[in-house]
Amino acid sequence: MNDCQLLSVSKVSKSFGGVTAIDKVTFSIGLNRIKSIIGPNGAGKTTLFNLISGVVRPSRGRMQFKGTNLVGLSPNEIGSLGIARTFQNVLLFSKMTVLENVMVGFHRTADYRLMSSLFRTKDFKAQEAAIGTGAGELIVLVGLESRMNETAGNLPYGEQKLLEIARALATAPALLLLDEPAAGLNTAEQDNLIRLIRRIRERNIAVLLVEHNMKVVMALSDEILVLDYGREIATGAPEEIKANQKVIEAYLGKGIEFARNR
Amino acid sequence: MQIQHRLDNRRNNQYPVFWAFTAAVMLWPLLYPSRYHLNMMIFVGISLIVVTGLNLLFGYAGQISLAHATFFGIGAYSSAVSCTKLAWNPWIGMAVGILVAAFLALIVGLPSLKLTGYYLAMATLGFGVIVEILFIQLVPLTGGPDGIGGIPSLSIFGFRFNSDFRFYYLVWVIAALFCLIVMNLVNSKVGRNMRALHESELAAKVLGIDTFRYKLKIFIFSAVYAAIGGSLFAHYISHITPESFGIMHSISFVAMTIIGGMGKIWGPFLGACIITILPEALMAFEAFHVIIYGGIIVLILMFFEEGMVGLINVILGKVSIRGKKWYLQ
Amino acid sequence: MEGKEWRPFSSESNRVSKMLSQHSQLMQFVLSGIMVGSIYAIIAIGFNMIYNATEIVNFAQGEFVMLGGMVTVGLYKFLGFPLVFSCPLAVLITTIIGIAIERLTINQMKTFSVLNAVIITIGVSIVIKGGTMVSLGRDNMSFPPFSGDRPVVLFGAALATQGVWIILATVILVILLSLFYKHSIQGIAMKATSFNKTAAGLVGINVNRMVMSSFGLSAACGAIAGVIITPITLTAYDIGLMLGLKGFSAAIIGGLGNFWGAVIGGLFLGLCESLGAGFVSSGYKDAIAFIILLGVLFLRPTGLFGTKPMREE
Repeated sequence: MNDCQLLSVSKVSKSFGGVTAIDKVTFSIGLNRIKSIIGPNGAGKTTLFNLISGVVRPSRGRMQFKGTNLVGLSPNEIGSLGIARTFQNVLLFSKMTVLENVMVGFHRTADYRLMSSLFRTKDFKAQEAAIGTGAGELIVLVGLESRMNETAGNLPYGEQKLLEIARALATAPALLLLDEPAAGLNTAEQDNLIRLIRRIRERNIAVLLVEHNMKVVMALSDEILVLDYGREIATGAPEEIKANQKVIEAYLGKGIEFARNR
Repeated sequence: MQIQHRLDNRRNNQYPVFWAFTAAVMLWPLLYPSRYHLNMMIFVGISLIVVTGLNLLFGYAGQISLAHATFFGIGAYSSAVSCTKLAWNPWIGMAVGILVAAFLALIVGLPSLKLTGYYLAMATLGFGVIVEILFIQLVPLTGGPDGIGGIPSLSIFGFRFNSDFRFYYLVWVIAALFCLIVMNLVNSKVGRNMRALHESELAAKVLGIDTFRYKLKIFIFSAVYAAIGGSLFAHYISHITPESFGIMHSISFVAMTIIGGMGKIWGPFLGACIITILPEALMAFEAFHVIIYGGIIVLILMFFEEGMVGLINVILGKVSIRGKKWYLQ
Repeated sequence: MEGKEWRPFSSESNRVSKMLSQHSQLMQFVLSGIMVGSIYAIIAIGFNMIYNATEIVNFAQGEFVMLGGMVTVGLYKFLGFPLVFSCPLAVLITTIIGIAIERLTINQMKTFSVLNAVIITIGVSIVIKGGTMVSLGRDNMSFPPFSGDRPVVLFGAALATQGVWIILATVILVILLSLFYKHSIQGIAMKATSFNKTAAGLVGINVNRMVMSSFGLSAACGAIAGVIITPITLTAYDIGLMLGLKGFSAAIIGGLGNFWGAVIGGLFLGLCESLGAGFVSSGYKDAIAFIILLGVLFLRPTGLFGTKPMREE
């Protein structure tokens, strides 16, 4: 296992009953890199994210992040290590405002004790203010400044996805897992997303991307991993993947979209 | 600076209402000083303490406890036993009650809260019935079905709370204080995390929030509130019997929580009022009062999803009365 | 908690049992355990029916049992109807009440939520209890056993003949229900609804009617249990709560929602309670069921046959 890599996933497998969702997948990602995971539906991409973030435990294999073993850790332990993620079906705190959603992400930066919050000490107020400012800054970064005090559930879909990214960034991660961030976005929003992810990379955050949208994948990725039926069928730079025969075959059903993006 | 301002605005709405309400409560005995009214409002206040904790558990941890009358009883019996059999200071008795309740809540909560679903409800059900039986059977300790009598009144530095008037203020100052504590808790990082946990436990988890520990802490916190309420109860009525701490009373507390609705200030208060005052008010109907009481519970929840808070909202014109009809939920 | 004393023996069989040996004493407890367990099983089945159709835990389930016995008493003692007529009529009346509860309250909820519906069933149980108290009084009541008083000797132990009826009725009910779920269109439809309401609706099952039927069927089961047990244990307006709680515990022990789980859970609970009561004082007897409940919840929370794995979301 390469020690320079931020995250190393080694021969990880996951079976649910008789179904093998992930089969001996191996890959790694280094600091500041953007890596995409693509593959037909049902290829196990979200399961892979669930494995890395601790939602599901691997049947076999090893995962390491910054030298720490990830297997067996709970999602909140992994979240505290510096891995953040978004969800395919946006899991926002719908009844809370945009600002509050992002503030939740900052919870670890405030260490005021219970007594301080009960008695509203100066320390409490200062830390709350800092959280508010930090959250505000991230909201500006993703472009939701005008929505600051809106209820999250009222936002249009595209903006909800941006909010989820802002919230994930609040945990100051070293690695960000984005699960289909471009799904349901129109062309303008897709371009916006591409710019945002590049800005995220500039902040020294590595990005692991699960995506169907080839335009986004091709525009951003340093490297692409292709899964089919839970197995890795190709890995390499975008140009290599485009030309890879096995990949084209796996996508035969989606040939039109793939061909259009060539 | 701009962001800070907007944040404060949202939070500050509740506090003026709270203080106004507290002032009204403090003035109440001057308007209705009769023993009957004081007595009733003392019971409302004691219930309010319990329901405030239960509301936190339900509203933020999304869990139901069917053992809050049990924790209530633990507080009551701890106070009773320490004062009558051990001749300890009543406040020490209350402290013992708090510790025992917290410990038992930890034991019950630890295995139940690890799992998603209503397992805590079922575990507290079993726990509640068992302890109820213990209250009756452990005669040397609890006095059995006859209970414990002769519980002295509380006093601070010699000032004795031995009249309805004085006890009213003791209870309501404590209730207001406890309500304030909960409000401050909710409007802080802890409160945000709890609300997050309630909305989407998975999302909260991946943000690094240890949801299990939060739920456990909330459960223990609510059990402690119930125990304190129980101690106050014991000192007020001075003779306690196991009857007051059974499953039906736990169910009453839960009903108060849900019927009151989840509003932070109004919910527990309205719920406590309805369930405490209604049976009294219906006494005129004699034997039928139970039927009417049950009927009112049913009707409130049929028409107002948010319980009494929903009813108030409708009256205030905030929400239309048309809800969602269910089908294929 | 002042429940009515659970008295599994009529005075006749009590006398008989005193004459039997230790081994027969054990057999005595086993038989009475099976008898009591049958009742818990039927109540548990009732809980599962409504839970499967709606995810509601029906707190009025115990009241259905109470109504079975009390309405029979009302018809038999107060109105003078013959027993053979009163019993089925009481079950029918209780079934109608069950359906009425669903139609008039749950179905009428402006905005449905499982939690509110559960509290509504609590309110309903209060109404039913109050109504019974007002119309029939607070006393313990009973009616004669179906086929006389003389105990039957079985495996060296004495069982009141009514006990035979109880076990027989339970077996028949369980067989009928399992056939119903497996082979009848309505039964299969109910099972389908419990797995996936949306899909069931899409294939043309009237989900609304399924919910109503589940309440009716559940009430019928509860009433049958109440009728057959009354000659032995007596009935009163307030026996519903403890019976309901124990039946619910049996359902959880077997795995909430699982039919055979309810049967096994109920029998298991009844046996443990009966055998345990032989060794501890009667005051603690009620605690046995709930100690077992806690044990199961802490060791195997989904119950003996439960299906939902609960650890991850």
